[in-house]
Amino acid sequence: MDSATGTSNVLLSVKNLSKHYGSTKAVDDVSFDIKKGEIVTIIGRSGAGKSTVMRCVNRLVHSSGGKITFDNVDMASRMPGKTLRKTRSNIGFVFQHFNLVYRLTVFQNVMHGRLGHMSTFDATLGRYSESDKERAFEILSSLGLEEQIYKRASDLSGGQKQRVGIARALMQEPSLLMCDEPIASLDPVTSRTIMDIIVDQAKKRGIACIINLHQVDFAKEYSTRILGMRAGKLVFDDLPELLTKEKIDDVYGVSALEEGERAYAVGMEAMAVVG
Amino acid sequence: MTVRAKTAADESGGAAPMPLMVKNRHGKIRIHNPKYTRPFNVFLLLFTVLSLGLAYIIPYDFGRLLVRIVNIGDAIRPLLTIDFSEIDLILPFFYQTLSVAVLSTIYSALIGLFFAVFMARNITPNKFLPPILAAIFTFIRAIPSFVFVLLVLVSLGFGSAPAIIGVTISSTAFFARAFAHAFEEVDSGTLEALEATGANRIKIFFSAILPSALTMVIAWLTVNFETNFHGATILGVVGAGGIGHIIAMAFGSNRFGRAWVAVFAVVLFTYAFEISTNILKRKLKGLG
Amino acid sequence: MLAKFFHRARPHGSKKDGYRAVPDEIKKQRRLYYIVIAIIALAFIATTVNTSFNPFIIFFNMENFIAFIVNDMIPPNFGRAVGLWDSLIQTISMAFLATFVGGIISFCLCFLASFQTSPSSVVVRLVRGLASLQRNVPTIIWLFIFRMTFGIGITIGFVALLFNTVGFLTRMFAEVVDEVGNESMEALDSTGSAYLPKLAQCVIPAAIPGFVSWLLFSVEINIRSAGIVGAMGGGGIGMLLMGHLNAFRYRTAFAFILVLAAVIIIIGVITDYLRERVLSK
Repeated sequence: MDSATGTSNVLLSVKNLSKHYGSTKAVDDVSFDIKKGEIVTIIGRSGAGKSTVMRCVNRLVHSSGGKITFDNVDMASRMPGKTLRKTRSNIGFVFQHFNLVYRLTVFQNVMHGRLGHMSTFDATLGRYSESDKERAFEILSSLGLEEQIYKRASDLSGGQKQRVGIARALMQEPSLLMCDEPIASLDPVTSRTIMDIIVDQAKKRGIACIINLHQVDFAKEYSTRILGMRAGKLVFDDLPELLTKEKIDDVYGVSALEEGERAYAVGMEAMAVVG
Repeated sequence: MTVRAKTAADESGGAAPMPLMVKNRHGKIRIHNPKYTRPFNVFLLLFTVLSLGLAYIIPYDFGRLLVRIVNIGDAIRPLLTIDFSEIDLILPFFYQTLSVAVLSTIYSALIGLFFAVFMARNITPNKFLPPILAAIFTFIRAIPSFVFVLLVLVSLGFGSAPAIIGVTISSTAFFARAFAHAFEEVDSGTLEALEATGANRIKIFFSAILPSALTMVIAWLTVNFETNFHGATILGVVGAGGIGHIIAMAFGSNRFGRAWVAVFAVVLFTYAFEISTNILKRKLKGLG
Repeated sequence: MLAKFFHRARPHGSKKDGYRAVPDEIKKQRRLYYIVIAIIALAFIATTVNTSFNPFIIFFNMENFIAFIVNDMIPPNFGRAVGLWDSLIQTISMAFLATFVGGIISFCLCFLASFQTSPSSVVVRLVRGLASLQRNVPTIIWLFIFRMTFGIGITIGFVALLFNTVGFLTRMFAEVVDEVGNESMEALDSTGSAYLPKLAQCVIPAAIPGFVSWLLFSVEINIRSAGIVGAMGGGGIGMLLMGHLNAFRYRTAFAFILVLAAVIIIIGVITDYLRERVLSK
């Protein structure tokens, strides 16, 4: 389904990315491309390397090897601070734990999204332009938060907080949006709402999306493409329809299930002896 | 949240009026919430006014200070000697101050513990004791320990005994309050259960209350020991003996070399003690 | 009784049960407690011998002490308490001004002393070390040094308090910044924000309650220290108190003591109340 023509269509190109922590390989030779408008989800167990890959892309984590091309910049290489900041301002990031400044109002938190686009002087003094503020209000309204804008971020529910996080990322007017387990801290109903919002906004604004998820069913439902990671390696990269049960086991590792069953059996034996 | 749509729409050059919930001030959209920011702004303002206002009416002599700073070279030169020759004379005094600190900490902890039993509202035998004792100890805490020591010095003479007593008094006030609070924190359910089993008060104390508070107790002991050491040093200066006395004498007689040695001993010890308590804390955290 | 205490510290079973040994961790913890208690006991014995301090002296001399207080100090003599209120204001001013100026200086330094916001960990240790030095050297030592060079009076009393305050607050502010920054700073990093905006828009707003709380605490500390500092020549109510005591005017001195205690209590109560309100917001 991939035509290799039209490289201008490729937003992010990851080649042979790897990251070691000592002797442990958190990410092991991962390669994939993201094209404009795609909604890509990454699935895998905890510790499979999903978060690390994301953080390598915007260099919150320094990779150990490989090449990451975004916006004509190799994110894996060393670069002057200005370039790094400018490139980062084009990538929106949504965190699992929202990462808001809880003492500030919702409005102020969302405005933080513009800091990367302003001069250091203006940014330090918080001199946002009126048009920026109006755009923030628009975004907040489209996410249903227009009544909360002057509330303290700490006074919101989990789902609302994540919406603020998403609004902040959207304020950057990014070409790429990365969401690191955005719904892991939320209840099932709210999770669905948030996923709807993310995908909806991405499609409306023409932003490509990478989302880390635990829930395979969400992945199948919302994405145009799925990446599966296991123990740092990329083991699946294809359309959601082709993610069969076998493939899922492959990603999540049957051994995990076996291990669980074995532990259970051992526990039962132990109890028999003691009892 | 009042809606003032008019102003904004006008400012933006007569664009279509948006149903704004955005407040305006000077025509600019407000992004913070004054309800939260105002208290702090008020506080900062008051604090600044108070500090600077008080300073203004007091005859500080910063001019002279600045002049002296510029000429600091002359003043500093005689200070820059250090003389280890009489260190064997100095060390016993250090030991004396150390002893004062150790003993006062231990005694004040024990006495404080004793009083705390009566101060804790959940195990005191008489309902009226806690507030009375609390008031007394608050008053004692407010008086700097050197006042007590001075009083004891004046009434009982010089030496380390007055120092110990003086430091113990204010230190006891701290421990009494700390222990009392800790006792009150113990789950009342646990206490009830223990009483139901027929355990008497002393047994309750040792079996249930003491173990859970142990790490906190060690923290208090170390903090108070540092404070008491600090206090004992200062008291030496006013005549209670020990290394503070040495420091005062040496400075007074311009024997700066000796003075620095004594100061050095104090600083070194405080530093070493702080480091060892940090290590101890980390070890306890790791195992606790 | 001691056995009962340790019995409760064990999770379940002991070597006696022949079923499970005591877990290593608990053993280590208990051994640590033993060592600590042994050290304390040793220190107690050594120091008692050194000072030949007999605690029962207290009971003998309590009579003297109380007699002294009752006869010589009560009732306090406010009539001859010249300069009482003036020196009180001076003392309060010293404490507030030292906290104010110290707060500003510490505010600037604390970002260098925090692992989150400092350019390098070398700088962090350096600044923290300096602050620690200022705290550990007892105030009076500074006072002596200043006396030699600058003379006595409230000006140097203020300077001594200032040194102590900066040492204390730099450390405390840095700890606030350490706790507060983390996650939200990561978020601001990902938006491409530069260093200063991160400080101004994220760290500082989040740290303000902590800062204010420590600032108030510092006021309380300084009021207490001001008494002692004054007694060493730092001016204010402490200096006058010392003077009267040295001149055997005990009744007058007692008046000073009462006023000092009252001020400390009042300011203590006010700062406690404000700190509670600040931290609950």
